[in-house]
Amino acid sequence: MPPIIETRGLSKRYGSHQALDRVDLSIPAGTVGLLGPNGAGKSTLIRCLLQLQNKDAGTASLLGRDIDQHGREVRMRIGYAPEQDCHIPGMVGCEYVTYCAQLSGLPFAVARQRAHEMLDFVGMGQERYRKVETYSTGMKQRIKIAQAIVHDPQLVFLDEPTNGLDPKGQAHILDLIERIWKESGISVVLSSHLLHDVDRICEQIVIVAQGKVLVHDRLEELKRRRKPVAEVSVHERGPELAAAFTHHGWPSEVLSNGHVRVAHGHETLNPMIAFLRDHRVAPLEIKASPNALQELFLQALQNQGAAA
Amino acid sequence: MSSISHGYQHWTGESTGLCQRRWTITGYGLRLCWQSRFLKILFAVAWVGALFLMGFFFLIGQLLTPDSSLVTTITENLGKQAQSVINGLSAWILLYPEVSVDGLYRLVFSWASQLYSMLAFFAVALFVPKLIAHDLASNAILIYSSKALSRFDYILGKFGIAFTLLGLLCLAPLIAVWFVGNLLSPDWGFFYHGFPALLRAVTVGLLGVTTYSLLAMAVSSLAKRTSSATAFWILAWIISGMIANTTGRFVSWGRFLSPATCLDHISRHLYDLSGVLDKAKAMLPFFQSTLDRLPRRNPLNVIPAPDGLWLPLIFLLAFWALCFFAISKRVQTE
Repeated sequence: MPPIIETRGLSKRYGSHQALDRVDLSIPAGTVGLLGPNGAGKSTLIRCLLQLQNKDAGTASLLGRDIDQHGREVRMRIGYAPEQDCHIPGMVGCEYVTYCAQLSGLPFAVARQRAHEMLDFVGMGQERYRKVETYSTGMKQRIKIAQAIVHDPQLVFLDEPTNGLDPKGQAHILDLIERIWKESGISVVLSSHLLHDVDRICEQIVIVAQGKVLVHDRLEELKRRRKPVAEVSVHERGPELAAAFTHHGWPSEVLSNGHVRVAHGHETLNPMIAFLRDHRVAPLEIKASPNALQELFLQALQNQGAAA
Repeated sequence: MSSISHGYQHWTGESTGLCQRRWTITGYGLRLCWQSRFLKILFAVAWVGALFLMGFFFLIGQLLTPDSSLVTTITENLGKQAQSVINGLSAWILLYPEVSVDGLYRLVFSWASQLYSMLAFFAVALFVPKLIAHDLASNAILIYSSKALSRFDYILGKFGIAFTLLGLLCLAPLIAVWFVGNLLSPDWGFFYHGFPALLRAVTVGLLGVTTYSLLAMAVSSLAKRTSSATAFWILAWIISGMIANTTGRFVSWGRFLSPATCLDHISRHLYDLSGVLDKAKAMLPFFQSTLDRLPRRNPLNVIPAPDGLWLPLIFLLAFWALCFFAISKRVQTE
């Protein structure tokens, strides 16, 4: 199976700002998290791939087909939920999704049926008969996802789909995105600056900063390569425990929340549990690799900063 | 609140073609524009006018019908002078159908074209915000561009909206007049003799409808707010007219800086009414004497056809190119 995204030397410049700098990527099917700080080039990368913006240099293929030669045909098999608020004016929800399906090549009768199926899928009820401009942020995000998958694409780009949502709304949208890959097999590229979103859903990570790809690998692999860290929650004896860990040769620190963060260096937590038992410490909670993605992300950015 | 989802279902059907997808844009735009009550009124005016013209050509046809009760009733009520004019006209049509039928159609179509271009102006003022300005205001261009469509497909789809509306408003009534008018005439040779006039009307109509459509799209794409699109449209006509008038005084080509002037010149050249009148006067001495007796020098308001067709046509093409350039720049997602 060809990679869903393949780029060679993809570059884009806005005036003096290099938005994408010779990006080389080869991403297999699955759920992909596109991470990076604001202005890193995530959205530009997606927009160049979808030909919403002209690239300055390089080549790109989606689903094994060159976008320059087969742009229209490629987009027929791709869905896109943009970050910005956008809709076709004057349409009610189901009409809007039907229209988007027709624009993607579905005959009207099929488009109407699938529009209702997809609105069910994203969990929209009677709201579908209201005009899109009257929707709340959460509903707008859902309908954006519905219009992106209504034509049964093989790949869908979701640009910051949880932006502006409350935690409940975020959880709902993340559930939905998870189901897109698990239930339908549609590859998902999730662009976000929220690490938690990506950590929860994605199998692969691409970290972008200053228009360059800093890291691209499977999340599990990245976590495995990372130095094993654990977070131990104890009652009152935090500083004492941290000192004991350090004395044992495991660098540790007391965090602001009173937990002790320790780099134990083992694949499992067993040696650390044995250590706690020996020192008669009863932990309230032990978290293996907490905030692993955040650390990976920060580390990638630090490396980039040092290289620059 | 949420309805029950039966999970994701794949679709394995055949996709529609590119033309169908472009027509989807046009079809939705037409439905959206048709919601305007004022646009419906304009259509009613256009088609009622067409019905009157059909009636007129039915009457002309009756002149050839021996013992037509309609013609008899009219001549009885209008007096001897009218009777002689009608008899002269009947004779003229019978003797020279290739000139009389063609001339009558050209005269009627020329006047009707002017009336319909006014209707087109008002119609565009009504639907111009719904063409592109709406999409720009709501970021819908991004949605269109992410689908299986190119920028050109989008422009073509939008052009289809304006072209179809204006075609049905200005061009279709004239074609219907020609067809029904000839169908009601006793001599179906009218179809043959009236065909050149129809070709002229269709040519003028197509040029006009295309120009109006492209200008409407350009204005719609340049308006930053939906509400300002109509004002832009009216201002564009007024300003271009003023510029053309002013520059026309200094250089001859300056008058073609207004698309309306270009269309007017092309229309006058193609219909060539003065040529028709000259032929009619030469064939019918009574026609010449009747026109000479009238107090106005130019009772039919016929202005001779300007010599050159190419210059206004080149300017019109330049306007089209300019409009297309402006539209394609404005609908970019960059």
